[in-house]
Amino acid sequence: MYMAYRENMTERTDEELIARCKNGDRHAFDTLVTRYQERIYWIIKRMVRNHDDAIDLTQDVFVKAYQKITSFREDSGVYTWLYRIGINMSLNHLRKRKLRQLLSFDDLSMEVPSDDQTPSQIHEKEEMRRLISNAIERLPEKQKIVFLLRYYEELPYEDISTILGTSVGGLKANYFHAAKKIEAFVRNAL
Amino acid sequence: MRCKEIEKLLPDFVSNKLSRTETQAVREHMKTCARCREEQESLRNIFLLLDNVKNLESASAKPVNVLAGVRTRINAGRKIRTPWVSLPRLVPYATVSAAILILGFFLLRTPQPDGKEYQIFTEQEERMLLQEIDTDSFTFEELLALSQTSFEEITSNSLLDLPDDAFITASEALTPINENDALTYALATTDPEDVLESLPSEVSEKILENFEKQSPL
Ligand SMILES: [Zn+2]
Repeated sequence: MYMAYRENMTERTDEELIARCKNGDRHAFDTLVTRYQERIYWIIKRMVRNHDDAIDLTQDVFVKAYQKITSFREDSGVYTWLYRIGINMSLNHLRKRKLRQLLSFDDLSMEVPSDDQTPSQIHEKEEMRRLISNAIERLPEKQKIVFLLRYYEELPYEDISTILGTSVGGLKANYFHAAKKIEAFVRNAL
Repeated sequence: MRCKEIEKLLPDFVSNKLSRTETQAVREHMKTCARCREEQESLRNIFLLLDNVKNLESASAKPVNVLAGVRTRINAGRKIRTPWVSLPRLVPYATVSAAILILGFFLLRTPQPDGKEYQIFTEQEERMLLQEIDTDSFTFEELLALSQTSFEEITSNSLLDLPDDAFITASEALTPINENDALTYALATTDPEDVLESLPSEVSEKILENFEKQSPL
Protein backbone atom coordinates (compact mmCIF):
# COMPACT_ATOMS: atom_id res chain seq x y z
CA MET A 1 0.00 0.00 0.00
CA TYR A 2 2.68 2.44 1.10
CA MET A 3 4.99 1.38 -1.70
CA ALA A 4 2.28 1.83 -4.27
CA TYR A 5 1.65 5.30 -2.95
CA ARG A 6 5.33 6.17 -3.13
CA GLU A 7 5.70 4.85 -6.62
CA ASN A 8 2.76 6.90 -7.68
CA MET A 9 4.49 10.03 -6.42
CA THR A 10 7.54 9.66 -8.60
CA GLU A 11 5.36 9.97 -11.67
CA ARG A 12 3.81 13.24 -10.59
CA THR A 13 4.83 16.46 -12.26
CA ASP A 14 6.65 19.14 -10.28
CA GLU A 15 3.51 21.24 -10.29
CA GLU A 16 1.43 18.48 -8.77
CA LEU A 17 4.08 17.84 -6.16
CA ILE A 18 4.29 21.51 -5.25
CA ALA A 19 0.54 21.73 -4.87
CA ARG A 20 0.64 18.71 -2.54
CA CYS A 21 3.59 20.15 -0.61
CA LYS A 22 1.65 23.31 -0.01
CA ASN A 23 -1.03 21.16 1.57
CA GLY A 24 1.55 19.72 3.91
CA ASP A 25 2.20 16.44 2.08
CA ARG A 26 5.61 15.30 3.30
CA HIS A 27 5.85 12.44 0.82
CA ALA A 28 5.44 14.86 -2.04
CA PHE A 29 8.25 16.93 -0.61
CA ASP A 30 10.46 13.87 -0.22
CA THR A 31 9.87 13.12 -3.88
CA LEU A 32 11.05 16.59 -4.81
CA VAL A 33 14.19 16.10 -2.74
CA THR A 34 14.89 12.77 -4.38
CA ARG A 35 14.25 14.22 -7.81
CA TYR A 36 16.58 17.21 -7.52
CA GLN A 37 19.17 16.43 -4.86
CA GLU A 38 21.81 15.29 -7.33
CA ARG A 39 21.56 18.41 -9.47
CA ILE A 40 21.55 20.76 -6.50
CA TYR A 41 24.43 18.92 -4.90
CA TRP A 42 26.58 19.13 -8.02
CA ILE A 43 26.12 22.82 -8.70
CA ILE A 44 26.97 23.53 -5.07
CA LYS A 45 29.90 21.10 -5.08
CA ARG A 46 31.36 22.79 -8.13
CA MET A 47 31.03 26.14 -6.47
CA VAL A 48 32.38 25.38 -3.01
CA ARG A 49 34.68 22.52 -4.10
CA ASN A 50 34.25 20.51 -0.93
CA HIS A 51 32.05 17.44 -0.57
CA ASP A 52 31.08 17.83 3.08
CA ASP A 53 30.18 21.48 2.71
CA ALA A 54 28.22 20.66 -0.43
CA ILE A 55 26.19 17.97 1.33
CA ASP A 56 25.53 20.32 4.21
CA LEU A 57 24.45 23.14 1.93
CA THR A 58 22.30 20.83 -0.19
CA GLN A 59 20.40 19.88 2.94
CA ASP A 60 20.05 23.55 3.82
CA VAL A 61 18.62 24.26 0.38
CA PHE A 62 15.84 21.72 0.82
CA VAL A 63 15.12 22.72 4.39
CA LYS A 64 14.79 26.27 3.22
CA ALA A 65 12.61 25.22 0.30
CA TYR A 66 10.41 23.32 2.72
CA GLN A 67 10.07 26.33 4.97
CA LYS A 68 9.32 28.67 2.11
CA ILE A 69 7.24 26.43 -0.07
CA THR A 70 4.04 28.36 0.52
CA SER A 71 5.64 31.52 -0.84
CA PHE A 72 6.94 29.78 -3.97
CA ARG A 73 5.22 31.33 -6.95
CA GLU A 74 4.75 28.90 -9.76
CA ASP A 75 5.60 31.31 -12.56
CA SER A 76 8.96 29.54 -12.88
CA GLY A 77 9.96 25.91 -12.57
CA VAL A 78 10.64 24.54 -9.14
CA TYR A 79 14.14 23.52 -10.14
CA THR A 80 15.10 27.05 -11.18
CA TRP A 81 13.93 28.11 -7.75
CA LEU A 82 16.03 25.40 -6.09
CA TYR A 83 19.04 26.33 -8.19
CA ARG A 84 18.68 29.92 -7.14
CA ILE A 85 18.54 29.03 -3.46
CA GLY A 86 21.55 26.75 -3.95
CA ILE A 87 23.60 29.38 -5.74
CA ASN A 88 22.74 32.05 -3.22
CA MET A 89 23.67 29.79 -0.36
CA SER A 90 26.93 28.85 -2.06
CA LEU A 91 27.83 32.50 -2.63
CA ASN A 92 27.00 33.24 0.95
CA HIS A 93 29.10 30.31 2.08
CA LEU A 94 32.05 31.42 -0.05
CA ARG A 95 31.72 34.91 1.29
CA LYS A 96 31.84 33.70 4.86
CA ARG A 97 34.74 31.44 4.06
CA LYS A 98 36.60 34.39 2.57
CA LEU A 99 35.89 36.51 5.61
CA ARG A 100 37.17 33.78 7.87
CA GLN A 101 40.26 33.44 5.77
CA LEU A 102 40.86 37.16 5.83
CA LEU A 103 40.66 36.93 9.56
CA SER A 104 42.81 33.84 9.59
CA PHE A 105 40.27 31.98 11.67
CA ASP A 106 40.82 29.07 9.38
CA ASP A 107 43.94 27.06 9.31
CA LEU A 108 46.34 28.07 6.58
CA SER A 109 45.98 24.74 4.86
CA MET A 110 42.30 25.50 4.36
CA GLU A 111 42.93 28.69 2.47
CA VAL A 112 42.82 27.29 -0.99
CA PRO A 113 39.67 25.23 -1.09
CA SER A 114 41.17 21.85 -1.50
CA ASP A 115 39.55 19.82 -4.16
CA ASP A 116 39.27 16.21 -3.14
CA GLN A 117 42.73 14.82 -3.33
CA THR A 118 43.78 11.29 -4.02
CA PRO A 119 47.53 11.44 -3.53
CA SER A 120 48.05 7.74 -4.17
CA GLN A 121 46.59 7.80 -7.62
CA ILE A 122 47.70 11.01 -9.23
CA HIS A 123 47.76 10.04 -12.82
CA GLU A 124 47.09 11.89 -15.98
CA LYS A 125 43.33 11.82 -15.78
CA GLU A 126 43.33 13.11 -12.26
CA GLU A 127 45.74 15.84 -13.28
CA MET A 128 43.38 16.87 -16.05
CA ARG A 129 40.41 16.91 -13.75
CA ARG A 130 42.24 19.13 -11.32
CA LEU A 131 43.45 21.40 -14.06
CA ILE A 132 39.91 21.96 -15.31
CA SER A 133 38.65 22.44 -11.78
CA ASN A 134 41.31 25.07 -11.14
CA ALA A 135 40.59 26.81 -14.41
CA ILE A 136 36.93 27.11 -13.48
CA GLU A 137 37.78 28.25 -9.99
CA ARG A 138 39.69 31.19 -11.44
CA LEU A 139 36.77 32.52 -13.44
CA PRO A 140 35.05 35.69 -12.31
CA GLU A 141 32.16 34.54 -10.16
CA LYS A 142 29.39 35.38 -12.55
CA GLN A 143 31.08 33.74 -15.52
CA LYS A 144 31.76 30.74 -13.34
CA ILE A 145 28.13 30.34 -12.38
CA VAL A 146 26.94 30.78 -15.95
CA PHE A 147 29.48 28.23 -17.11
CA LEU A 148 28.46 25.69 -14.47
CA LEU A 149 24.77 26.09 -15.24
CA ARG A 150 25.20 25.93 -19.00
CA TYR A 151 27.96 23.38 -19.42
CA TYR A 152 27.46 21.01 -16.49
CA GLU A 153 23.77 21.45 -15.77
CA GLU A 154 22.95 21.92 -19.46
CA LEU A 155 20.20 24.37 -18.63
CA PRO A 156 18.54 26.37 -21.39
CA TYR A 157 19.53 30.05 -21.35
CA GLU A 158 15.94 30.95 -20.50
CA ASP A 159 16.21 29.03 -17.22
CA ILE A 160 19.59 30.53 -16.41
CA SER A 161 18.11 33.92 -17.12
CA THR A 162 15.33 33.17 -14.62
CA ILE A 163 17.82 32.02 -12.02
CA LEU A 164 20.26 34.89 -12.34
CA GLY A 165 18.03 37.66 -13.62
CA THR A 166 20.31 38.41 -16.57
CA SER A 167 19.45 38.76 -20.25
CA VAL A 168 20.01 35.78 -22.52
CA GLY A 169 22.37 37.77 -24.74
CA GLY A 170 24.50 38.68 -21.76
CA LEU A 171 24.57 35.06 -20.62
CA LYS A 172 25.82 33.86 -24.00
CA ALA A 173 28.62 36.40 -23.86
CA ASN A 174 29.45 35.26 -20.30
CA TYR A 175 29.56 31.66 -21.45
CA PHE A 176 31.84 32.43 -24.38
CA HIS A 177 34.27 34.44 -22.24
CA ALA A 178 34.29 31.75 -19.56
CA ALA A 179 35.13 29.07 -22.13
CA LYS A 180 37.88 31.24 -23.58
CA LYS A 181 39.45 31.82 -20.19
CA ILE A 182 39.36 28.14 -19.37
CA GLU A 183 41.00 27.43 -22.71
CA ALA A 184 43.75 29.98 -22.08
CA PHE A 185 44.37 28.67 -18.57
CA VAL A 186 44.68 25.09 -19.73
CA ARG A 187 46.85 26.02 -22.70
CA ASN A 188 49.26 27.91 -20.44
CA ALA A 189 49.39 25.07 -17.96
CA LEU A 190 50.16 22.35 -20.47
CA MET B 1 26.10 38.57 -38.42
CA ARG B 2 29.16 40.23 -37.02
CA CYS B 3 31.98 38.48 -35.16
CA LYS B 4 30.68 39.66 -31.78
CA GLU B 5 27.38 37.93 -32.42
CA ILE B 6 28.98 34.83 -33.88
CA GLU B 7 31.45 34.27 -31.06
CA LYS B 8 28.65 34.12 -28.51
CA LEU B 9 27.31 31.14 -30.43
CA LEU B 10 30.62 29.32 -30.72
CA PRO B 11 30.61 27.36 -27.42
CA ASP B 12 27.18 25.98 -28.25
CA PHE B 13 28.25 25.45 -31.83
CA VAL B 14 31.12 23.16 -30.87
CA SER B 15 28.79 21.35 -28.42
CA ASN B 16 26.16 20.89 -31.12
CA LYS B 17 23.59 22.82 -29.17
CA LEU B 18 22.55 25.40 -31.76
CA SER B 19 19.39 25.43 -33.80
CA ARG B 20 19.73 24.60 -37.47
CA THR B 21 19.51 28.23 -38.58
CA GLU B 22 22.09 29.34 -36.02
CA THR B 23 24.43 26.53 -37.04
CA GLN B 24 24.03 27.61 -40.64
CA ALA B 25 24.79 31.23 -39.77
CA VAL B 26 27.98 30.25 -37.95
CA ARG B 27 29.13 28.07 -40.84
CA GLU B 28 28.47 30.81 -43.36
CA HIS B 29 30.36 33.35 -41.29
CA MET B 30 33.37 31.10 -40.82
CA LYS B 31 33.75 30.61 -44.54
CA THR B 32 34.99 34.16 -44.78
CA CYS B 33 36.29 34.87 -41.27
CA ALA B 34 39.60 33.32 -40.27
CA ARG B 35 39.48 34.76 -36.78
CA CYS B 36 36.22 33.10 -35.84
CA ARG B 37 37.42 29.92 -37.49
CA GLU B 38 40.45 29.89 -35.23
CA GLU B 39 38.35 30.74 -32.21
CA GLN B 40 36.09 27.86 -33.04
CA GLU B 41 39.04 25.52 -33.37
CA SER B 42 40.49 26.28 -29.95
CA LEU B 43 37.06 26.12 -28.32
CA ARG B 44 36.46 22.76 -29.95
CA ASN B 45 39.65 21.44 -28.37
CA ILE B 46 38.89 22.71 -24.91
CA PHE B 47 35.35 21.34 -25.01
CA LEU B 48 36.72 17.99 -26.08
CA LEU B 49 38.89 17.98 -22.99
CA LEU B 50 36.04 19.24 -20.81
CA ASP B 51 33.77 16.49 -22.12
CA ASN B 52 36.35 13.82 -21.39
CA VAL B 53 36.79 15.01 -17.85
CA LYS B 54 33.05 15.36 -17.36
CA ASN B 55 32.41 11.81 -18.54
CA LEU B 56 35.12 10.55 -16.29
CA GLU B 57 33.63 12.38 -13.35
CA SER B 58 30.12 11.15 -13.88
CA ALA B 59 31.40 7.60 -14.27
CA SER B 60 33.01 7.72 -10.84
CA ALA B 61 30.44 9.91 -9.10
CA LYS B 62 28.87 8.43 -6.02
CA PRO B 63 25.12 8.77 -5.59
CA VAL B 64 23.97 11.63 -3.41
CA ASN B 65 21.27 11.10 -0.84
CA VAL B 66 20.39 13.86 1.56
CA LEU B 67 16.81 12.84 2.19
CA ALA B 68 17.43 11.51 5.68
CA GLY B 69 19.45 14.56 6.60
CA VAL B 70 16.80 16.92 5.30
CA ARG B 71 14.08 15.09 7.22
CA THR B 72 16.09 15.22 10.41
CA ARG B 73 16.70 18.91 10.06
CA ILE B 74 13.08 19.66 9.31
CA ASN B 75 11.90 17.56 12.20
CA ALA B 76 14.37 19.19 14.53
CA GLY B 77 12.84 22.51 13.54
CA ARG B 78 16.25 23.69 12.61
CA LYS B 79 15.89 27.22 11.43
CA ILE B 80 17.89 28.94 8.78
CA ARG B 81 18.80 32.06 10.64
CA THR B 82 16.85 35.21 9.96
CA PRO B 83 18.40 38.41 8.69
CA TRP B 84 20.02 40.42 11.41
CA VAL B 85 19.92 43.76 9.69
CA SER B 86 17.88 45.08 6.82
CA LEU B 87 19.39 45.26 3.39
CA PRO B 88 20.05 49.00 3.00
CA ARG B 89 22.20 48.93 6.11
CA LEU B 90 23.69 45.58 5.45
CA VAL B 91 25.93 46.11 2.48
CA PRO B 92 27.98 49.02 3.77
CA TYR B 93 27.83 47.60 7.26
CA ALA B 94 29.16 44.24 6.21
CA THR B 95 31.95 45.80 4.21
CA VAL B 96 32.99 48.30 6.79
CA SER B 97 32.64 45.88 9.65
CA ALA B 98 34.75 43.36 7.86
CA ALA B 99 37.33 46.04 7.41
CA ILE B 100 37.32 47.03 11.02
CA LEU B 101 37.38 43.44 12.06
CA ILE B 102 40.42 42.82 9.95
CA LEU B 103 42.15 45.81 11.36
CA GLY B 104 40.99 44.71 14.78
CA PHE B 105 42.54 41.37 14.21
CA PHE B 106 45.67 43.11 13.19
CA LEU B 107 45.75 45.11 16.35
CA LEU B 108 45.10 42.06 18.43
CA ARG B 109 48.47 40.78 17.42
CA THR B 110 50.19 43.99 18.38
CA PRO B 111 50.82 44.29 22.10
CA GLN B 112 50.33 47.85 23.31
CA PRO B 113 53.07 49.78 25.13
CA ASP B 114 51.39 48.91 28.41
CA GLY B 115 51.46 45.25 27.49
CA LYS B 116 47.72 44.98 26.90
CA GLU B 117 46.24 43.83 23.66
CA TYR B 118 43.95 46.01 21.66
CA GLN B 119 40.60 44.64 20.66
CA ILE B 120 37.98 46.47 18.69
CA PHE B 121 35.28 43.85 18.46
CA THR B 122 33.95 41.70 21.20
CA GLU B 123 33.75 38.00 20.58
CA GLN B 124 30.01 38.26 20.29
CA GLU B 125 30.26 40.96 17.65
CA GLU B 126 32.70 38.87 15.70
CA ARG B 127 30.31 35.98 15.78
CA MET B 128 27.51 38.21 14.59
CA LEU B 129 29.60 39.40 11.70
CA LEU B 130 30.20 35.91 10.54
CA GLN B 131 26.62 34.88 11.08
CA GLU B 132 24.58 33.63 8.22
CA ILE B 133 22.82 36.28 6.23
CA ASP B 134 19.42 35.44 4.85
CA THR B 135 20.15 35.16 1.17
CA ASP B 136 16.56 35.92 0.29
CA SER B 137 17.03 39.57 1.05
CA PHE B 138 19.58 39.91 -1.73
CA THR B 139 19.37 40.02 -5.45
CA PHE B 140 21.90 37.92 -7.24
CA GLU B 141 23.98 40.94 -8.17
CA GLU B 142 24.09 42.13 -4.59
CA LEU B 143 25.19 38.76 -3.32
CA LEU B 144 27.81 38.66 -6.00
CA ALA B 145 29.05 42.08 -4.98
CA LEU B 146 29.19 41.04 -1.35
CA SER B 147 31.11 37.90 -2.07
CA GLN B 148 33.55 39.84 -4.18
CA THR B 149 34.20 42.77 -1.89
CA SER B 150 37.72 43.58 -2.78
CA PHE B 151 40.44 43.75 -0.26
CA GLU B 152 41.47 47.22 -1.35
CA GLU B 153 37.95 48.41 -0.76
CA ILE B 154 37.98 46.95 2.68
CA THR B 155 41.32 48.36 3.69
CA SER B 156 40.75 51.86 2.37
CA ASN B 157 37.30 52.06 3.96
CA SER B 158 38.61 50.77 7.19
CA LEU B 159 41.07 53.54 7.78
CA LEU B 160 38.43 56.21 7.80
CA ASP B 161 35.94 54.25 9.77
CA LEU B 162 38.18 53.60 12.68
CA PRO B 163 37.72 55.70 15.77
CA ASP B 164 40.63 58.08 16.32
CA ASP B 165 42.38 56.13 19.02
CA ALA B 166 42.10 52.96 17.02
CA PHE B 167 43.50 54.72 14.01
CA ILE B 168 46.53 55.85 15.98
CA THR B 169 47.06 52.35 17.23
CA ALA B 170 46.63 51.03 13.73
CA SER B 171 49.22 53.41 12.36
CA GLU B 172 51.56 52.46 15.16
CA ALA B 173 51.04 48.85 14.39
CA LEU B 174 51.43 49.23 10.69
CA THR B 175 54.21 51.68 10.28
CA PRO B 176 57.31 52.90 12.02
CA ILE B 177 56.48 56.39 10.79
CA ASN B 178 55.07 59.09 13.02
CA GLU B 179 51.42 58.28 13.57
CA ASN B 180 50.42 61.93 13.71
CA ASP B 181 51.35 62.39 10.08
CA ALA B 182 49.25 59.47 9.08
CA LEU B 183 46.32 60.64 11.13
CA THR B 184 46.51 64.18 9.82
CA TYR B 185 46.47 62.94 6.30
CA ALA B 186 43.62 60.64 6.96
CA LEU B 187 41.47 63.25 8.60
CA ALA B 188 42.22 65.90 6.01
CA THR B 189 40.37 64.03 3.36
CA THR B 190 37.02 62.32 3.13
CA ASP B 191 37.61 60.01 0.20
CA PRO B 192 38.97 56.68 1.44
CA GLU B 193 40.85 56.19 -1.81
CA ASP B 194 42.62 59.47 -1.17
CA VAL B 195 43.64 58.41 2.29
CA LEU B 196 45.93 55.72 1.09
CA GLU B 197 47.12 57.86 -1.77
CA SER B 198 47.90 60.88 0.34
CA LEU B 199 49.78 58.99 2.98
CA PRO B 200 53.53 59.09 2.59
CA SER B 201 54.31 56.31 0.16
CA GLU B 202 56.33 54.39 2.74
CA VAL B 203 53.28 54.40 4.99
CA SER B 204 50.75 53.35 2.42
CA GLU B 205 53.06 50.76 0.99
CA LYS B 206 53.70 49.38 4.42
CA ILE B 207 50.00 49.25 5.14
CA LEU B 208 49.21 47.48 1.91
CA GLU B 209 52.12 45.14 2.32
CA ASN B 210 51.03 44.23 5.83
CA PHE B 211 47.50 43.69 4.74
CA GLU B 212 48.62 41.54 1.87
CA LYS B 213 50.56 39.39 4.28
CA GLN B 214 47.40 38.95 6.28
CA SER B 215 45.29 38.24 3.25
CA PRO B 216 45.31 34.79 1.75
CA LEU B 217 43.98 36.19 -1.49
ZN1 LIG C 1 34.26 36.48 -37.39
